[in-house]
Amino acid sequence: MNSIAENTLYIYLIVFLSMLVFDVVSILYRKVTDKNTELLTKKIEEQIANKKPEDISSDDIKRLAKNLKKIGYFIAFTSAIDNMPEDRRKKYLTKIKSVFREILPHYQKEEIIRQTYFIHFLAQYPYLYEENMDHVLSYIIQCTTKDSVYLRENALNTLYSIGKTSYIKEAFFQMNYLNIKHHHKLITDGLMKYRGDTKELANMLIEELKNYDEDYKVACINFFGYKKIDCKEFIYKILTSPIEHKEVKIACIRYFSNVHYEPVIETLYELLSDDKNNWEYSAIAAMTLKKYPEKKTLEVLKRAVRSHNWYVRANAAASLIELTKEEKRKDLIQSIDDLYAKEALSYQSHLLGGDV
Amino acid sequence: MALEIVKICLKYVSYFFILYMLFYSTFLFISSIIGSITLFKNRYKEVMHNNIEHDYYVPVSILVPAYNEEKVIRSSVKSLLALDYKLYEIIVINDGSTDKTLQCLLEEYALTKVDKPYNRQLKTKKIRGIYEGTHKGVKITVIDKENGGKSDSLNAGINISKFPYFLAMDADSALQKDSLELLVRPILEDETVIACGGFIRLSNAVELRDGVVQKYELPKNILASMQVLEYDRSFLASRIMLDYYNGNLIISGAFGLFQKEIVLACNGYDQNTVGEDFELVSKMHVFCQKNSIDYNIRYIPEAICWTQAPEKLKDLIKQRKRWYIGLVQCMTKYRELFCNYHYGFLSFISYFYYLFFELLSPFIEVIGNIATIVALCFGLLNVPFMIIFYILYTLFGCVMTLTTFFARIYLANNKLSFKDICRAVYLCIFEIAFLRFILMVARLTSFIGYKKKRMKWDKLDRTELKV
Repeated sequence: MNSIAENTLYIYLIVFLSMLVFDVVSILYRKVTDKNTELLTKKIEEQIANKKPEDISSDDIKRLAKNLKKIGYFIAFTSAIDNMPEDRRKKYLTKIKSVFREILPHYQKEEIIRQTYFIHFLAQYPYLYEENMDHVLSYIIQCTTKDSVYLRENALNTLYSIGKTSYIKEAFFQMNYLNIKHHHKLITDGLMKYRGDTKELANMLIEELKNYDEDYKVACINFFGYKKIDCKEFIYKILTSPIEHKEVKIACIRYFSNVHYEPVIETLYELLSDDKNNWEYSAIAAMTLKKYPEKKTLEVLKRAVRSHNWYVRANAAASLIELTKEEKRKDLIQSIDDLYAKEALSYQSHLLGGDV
Repeated sequence: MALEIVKICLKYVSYFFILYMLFYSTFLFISSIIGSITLFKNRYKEVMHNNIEHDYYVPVSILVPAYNEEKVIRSSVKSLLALDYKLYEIIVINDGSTDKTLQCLLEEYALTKVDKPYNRQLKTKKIRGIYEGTHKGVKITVIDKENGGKSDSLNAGINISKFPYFLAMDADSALQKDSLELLVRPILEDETVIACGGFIRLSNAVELRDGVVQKYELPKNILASMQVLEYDRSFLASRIMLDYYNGNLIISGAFGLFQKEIVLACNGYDQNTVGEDFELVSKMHVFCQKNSIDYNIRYIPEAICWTQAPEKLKDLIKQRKRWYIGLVQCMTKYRELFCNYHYGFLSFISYFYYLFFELLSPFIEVIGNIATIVALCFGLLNVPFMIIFYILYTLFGCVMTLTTFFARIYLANNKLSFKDICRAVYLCIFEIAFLRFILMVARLTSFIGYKKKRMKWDKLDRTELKV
């Protein structure tokens, strides 16, 4: 028993000593590689500066492709490209873009982390895809269905920056088909960065929305709202559908606070009144109603400000105060007989700088 | 006859100890290796742009409970205002301080009293007043309430917070510019993430400016330096490994991000424990598993929070006693996690680890020492073996500590002087040979006077943070 313990500890000690050596060597190695990358970056910068894009030969491209398969060289190359002036960079990259077709099979076989780096680089230069890059593009679309969220995100960013609706359609189709979970916030923010024709993108998404799962639907509807896309009837239909998912409907209510649509008012009143069964709808409806300043809106909000649900009360108070002229806020607060409602209204009035 | 009985007893005791130490060393060995590899892998990922770079992440309410923190509260809030994050609010909860904590904040940020209605979802002590203001575009709220302890303060902060996620932190801590962003990223990567903990580092000799480390060195104070090594070992070894199978039972109260909805469903922080951070995370595990909620609790070593280490032995002992009492309270409260196959690894690795290597370890160590003395008295001790074994064990501990320490230096890209490297090497021997022993005694005696001290704030000597 004793010897087993002793031997085990010896083994562990040796492994730890090796790890310690590994740590120290890594720190030193990093220092050396950082310096090497810096030197290599300078060297690449000089090489690029010394050659006009039109003088780049096929041999140069072959040599570059060979070098870019080495990740260390790729990192230095990226830094060198980053440091170039925009117009020169565009000319240079357009001239050498066949390199990326050539190194694609190599990076496809690489570990996911390196694939992500490769895609991250490509995402920054959409002009590379203007022609003859179908192979690379289909690989990028394929990447949107991979397990790594980083790879997916970088691939989607590339597609947003290229700005072609058909690529987004294909990517979203595959992601939904394969049930790929991607945070709806990432999708919305990505769509907001889309560099192509937003209207065309929105039309495509409206057409495809029925095929998407909830997260994608929420993301798209949020995008429609932020971009104020006019698809009111379509969103209204979703909102009034009896089978639609709760989160999707909430996104629809939010949409109507960005895009005005008279026929939705009655639905908002109904949703606001139903605070016992569906307080989430009521709370968002209370917030949205401040964009619909009707006489009845004020009445409905006055009722809602007495709600037992805290969120409904708070949102209704915020909307009500915003819809009431400054000089009339005091009277409004005094006219309410509910203490909690008074408290909520007073605070909202204070936030807007009212004297209460 | 008596000698025979002693012999038999000692034989089994020695078997138990050898097995115990083997298990312990194996656990530390595996966890340190996994920890170091993960750090290198994470660094590699960062270089390779394997991260989510985003303009707007989820909005976060930062809760800072404070009790008599006039020395540090300004610098703490200042560090929060320097965060590189687009949407957050700061809520300081003044838990009936008897010093000028409240006045400091009101003057510094020109806050005004408001009659703010709030959602009383969690029961707390009476709130005396709420003050609000905006500084550099960030909303600052100060809640002035009757004294009720840290849990009570955090619950009050949750009630008043408006965002779906909250970050709980200590008033004597400071965050790096990117800390919040790094802590929030896992939520966008995986929607099942309900809580994230970061890496607590000791700020005693560190200078931060606008949320960036300007100067890093080992503290001059030996006790604080030894704690730096100890923190690196415990945070980078065990927590990274436990994170691999969603098995972290604790997110440090000094720096933890939580999804408010789940915390509310769990009834917030328990006010009857001093280990509120351990209790909350254990409760969240049990709650999610019982309700079949798909969840993840993550540990992010790259997200850093700087906090002060006690520089006086008396303060350190006080702090560790409190931690130990918290551990005992939580382990007994969640004893259903013991040997329960429903909880899988959480039960058979995490709970076992905390039970045998944290909670019971001071008792086991005392029994071991007594057994060694008895064996020596009866002439039954193999002295050369024992000496070799202890030397080996100490060496093992030192090398492991240094491994995690240097791995962390590598990860954080800190530059360490040659003098500090030498200090780290000899201090790790002191840490294992002496500090460990002192803390073992502290833990053993932690229940002396426990009821009287219960729920009081753990007040240590503070110095102003250099931010």
